[in-house]
Amino acid sequence: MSLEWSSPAGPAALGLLAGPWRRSAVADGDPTEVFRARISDEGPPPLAADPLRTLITASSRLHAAFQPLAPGVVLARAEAELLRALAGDTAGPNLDVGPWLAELARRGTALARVETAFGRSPGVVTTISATGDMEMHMLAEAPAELLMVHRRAVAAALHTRATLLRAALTTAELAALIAAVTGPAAAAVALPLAWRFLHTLLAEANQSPGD
Amino acid sequence: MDSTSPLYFNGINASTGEYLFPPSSAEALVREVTGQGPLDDPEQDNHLAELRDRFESATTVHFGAKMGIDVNDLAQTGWAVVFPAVRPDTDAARRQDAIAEALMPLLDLRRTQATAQDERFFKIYRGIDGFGGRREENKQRYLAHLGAGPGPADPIKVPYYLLLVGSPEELPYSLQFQLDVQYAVGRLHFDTVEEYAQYARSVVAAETGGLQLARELAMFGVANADDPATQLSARNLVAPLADILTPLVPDWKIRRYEGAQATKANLARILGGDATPALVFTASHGAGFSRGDPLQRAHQGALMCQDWPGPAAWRGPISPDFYFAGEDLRPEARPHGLIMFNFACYGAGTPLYNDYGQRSGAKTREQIADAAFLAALPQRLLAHPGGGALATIGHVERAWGTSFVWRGSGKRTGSTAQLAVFESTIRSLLGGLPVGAALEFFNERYAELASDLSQELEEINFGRKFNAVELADMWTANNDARAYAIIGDPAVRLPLAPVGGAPRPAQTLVLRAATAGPAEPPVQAQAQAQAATVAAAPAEAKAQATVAAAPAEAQAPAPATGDTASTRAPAPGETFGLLARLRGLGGAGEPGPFQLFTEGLLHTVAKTLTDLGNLEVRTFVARDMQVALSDPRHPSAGSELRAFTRVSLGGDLESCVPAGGDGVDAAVWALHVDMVKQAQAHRAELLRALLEATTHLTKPG
Repeated sequence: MSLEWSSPAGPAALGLLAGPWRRSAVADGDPTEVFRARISDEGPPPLAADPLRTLITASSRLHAAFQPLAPGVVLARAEAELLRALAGDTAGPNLDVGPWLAELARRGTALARVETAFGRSPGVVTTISATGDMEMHMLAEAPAELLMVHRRAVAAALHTRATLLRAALTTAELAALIAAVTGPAAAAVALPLAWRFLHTLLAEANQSPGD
Repeated sequence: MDSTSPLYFNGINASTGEYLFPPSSAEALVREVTGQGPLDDPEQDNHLAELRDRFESATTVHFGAKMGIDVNDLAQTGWAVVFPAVRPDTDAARRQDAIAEALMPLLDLRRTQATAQDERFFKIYRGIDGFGGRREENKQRYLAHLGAGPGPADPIKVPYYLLLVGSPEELPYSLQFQLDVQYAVGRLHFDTVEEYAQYARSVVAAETGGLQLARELAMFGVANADDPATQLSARNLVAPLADILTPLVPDWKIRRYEGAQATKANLARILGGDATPALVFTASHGAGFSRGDPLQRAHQGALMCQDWPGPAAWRGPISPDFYFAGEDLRPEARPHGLIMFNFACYGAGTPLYNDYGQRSGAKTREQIADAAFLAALPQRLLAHPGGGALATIGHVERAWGTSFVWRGSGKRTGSTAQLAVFESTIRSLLGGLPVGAALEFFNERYAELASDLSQELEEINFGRKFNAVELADMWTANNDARAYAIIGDPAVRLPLAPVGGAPRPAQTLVLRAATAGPAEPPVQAQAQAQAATVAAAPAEAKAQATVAAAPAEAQAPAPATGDTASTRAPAPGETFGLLARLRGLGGAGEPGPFQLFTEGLLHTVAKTLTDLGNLEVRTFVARDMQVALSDPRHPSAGSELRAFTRVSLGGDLESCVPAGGDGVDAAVWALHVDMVKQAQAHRAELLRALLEATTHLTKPG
């Protein structure tokens, strides 16, 4: 099975967030997110670690970073980098990630279409609304293998959408926490700091064996 | 003590002023017990066999859920709500829809907690999965329908924490008792839909709003003059229990209200007044009323206080001044977060029939109420508009002294008091265990006693001579242990301040429409409540609904009225509490990246929440996909609709397939079902992500 996605979320995030998708051409003027699958001998690209768990636990990691450190305890990389940046020991990120993250959230809830090809034509097509309603069109007497591929493609597409939305929301939450804890001075850089923190956590999870 | 010594029950008939149940001798009781043994009743026989199995397999770490499951963690135990089955398109169905909607904030919270690892660990049993939908349904048949048999709770099949939502007429007390053997079961039933909503808000606010109660336990032990029952419970239950607990829980302040201190006025201070603790334990008579007495529904199970002069000094009907009933709970009371444990007859509720009479061999059972009902005091406490209690534990039917004294056990120690079950339960509650899991000690005791009793009765049926006193004790203790019931969500736990930390009320928010015009009464809600309310509101209202944070100092449990935040339309960038404060941190002037991002994100969240409604999945089959997909405005052209499923917000599922012909193709149907499951899981994840983010963003920093 091969999988393509018309609108990768962004150069830095895709490798960590998207899972098994390859980038596909973006259809001009079509706001729909298109996920394409086809039966293929070629295996999918290596699967990134599922980031959902990291996203769900990110705020507790951030909370912990601001707690007094017990003697002998060493901070993990993400927490240490964050505290160093807040202390002014390193230059904070100046990347304006706000619009890009907002776009991430939009993509997580945009209209989506999952197409599974049967030869050169679509064999099964499922459209997914912002709130998850589905409409599936399938070719009469579509082979079972095609249906199986489509089923997996829809699952992967839904998971990707949920992850994108969760990533945007988590970043907002982390930014709010950083700014609330550190005060006005950090408000301006809270968002990029939050994204950097989350990005490091995701990279860390991606490198963990067994994920 | 011999077989003619009297047994006392904790109940006063407030209609007459007499004991609700006259003291009975062990011999008399045994005659009733053996008049018709439980083994004559096949259903009871099955239940006893299950109890015996449970007792024999129980270990000290066994709490009903299967081995390896941490009952503290809903992600491991699962959580489910059980509704009665109702006929579609009836008033009962519409009312149940409204109740499910009112409970949505609680259901969403539990869904989030229970599905952290596995989507299957959260269930809403309604519709065809509601209780009573099948002929002569009982607990075993119902569990079998849900996919579970007897034995430890396996959350993949049926979650461990079960919240019954319905009256004891719809979901019988016997179902609650029997499920409680292996599951942690609680019940909600209120007269109005708003009370359900209020309870849901209280629990959500307690668990997500930062409510922290002081570590205080109130022990309230009535000892009325000339009254052996309350003197026994004061002397052998309340006082020694307080003595035992004091050194065991040094971080807790134990306030003792014993004898002369156990007055109605002091109980009012404890239940939401200036002396409200985290946990209240009471032992007293419960007020009972004759069937047909107009006060029965409102006052039965009310807690008799020290104000009653006792049976010798007082003759005639009991004055309401002597007991604390639901209506004695004042509007200004603040019982938010409280858990109460009552040892009193009918403290939790009243069954339809006298359970005692059921065993007497009589042809008909004595009806003691027009319908089974919950006691009003727990109902009022849980649904209190100022923030309700989280749960109460009480007795359905009569409470017995054998609950805490055991004949013949005092020869070595000098005391017949047996308090390990009470002590263990209370310590579990103080330690923060969910109330349903904490009550497992009583369920273990019930299993043990029922196992012993069934064995004994079996032997007696085969002609063995019996000791009347021992048998009577086993019987009464068995009944007593069975009848403890939780009113409230069994997964709630005491929201406690850290050791040495100061208590603090829950942070609350004001939800209102952003349109100008006359101010609507503000509704206190937590983030989940907001989302559910927004989702449930009419489309026009939903599009305008926003959430505004009340100022920190106004975020007390008291209903917020007329504060600034609730009477003006918030600007787009200040819709969320913490984020609103951050906007202020950024300073005045042009919106920065943070605000731009926030506005974009909030727009997405608000739009998605606004659009949430029934989930629909349609499956079409086409001969030519190019034709079928050629017109994006009419994507179904050239296709034939072969399956349609609609899932309501409450979880009801409705599927349609073509009638006649060849019916629906198996492969199409399998794919359709799979799509429905994926859509449901995705909807749950979507909702969870939105609600968690909303919750966290609206928390104070």
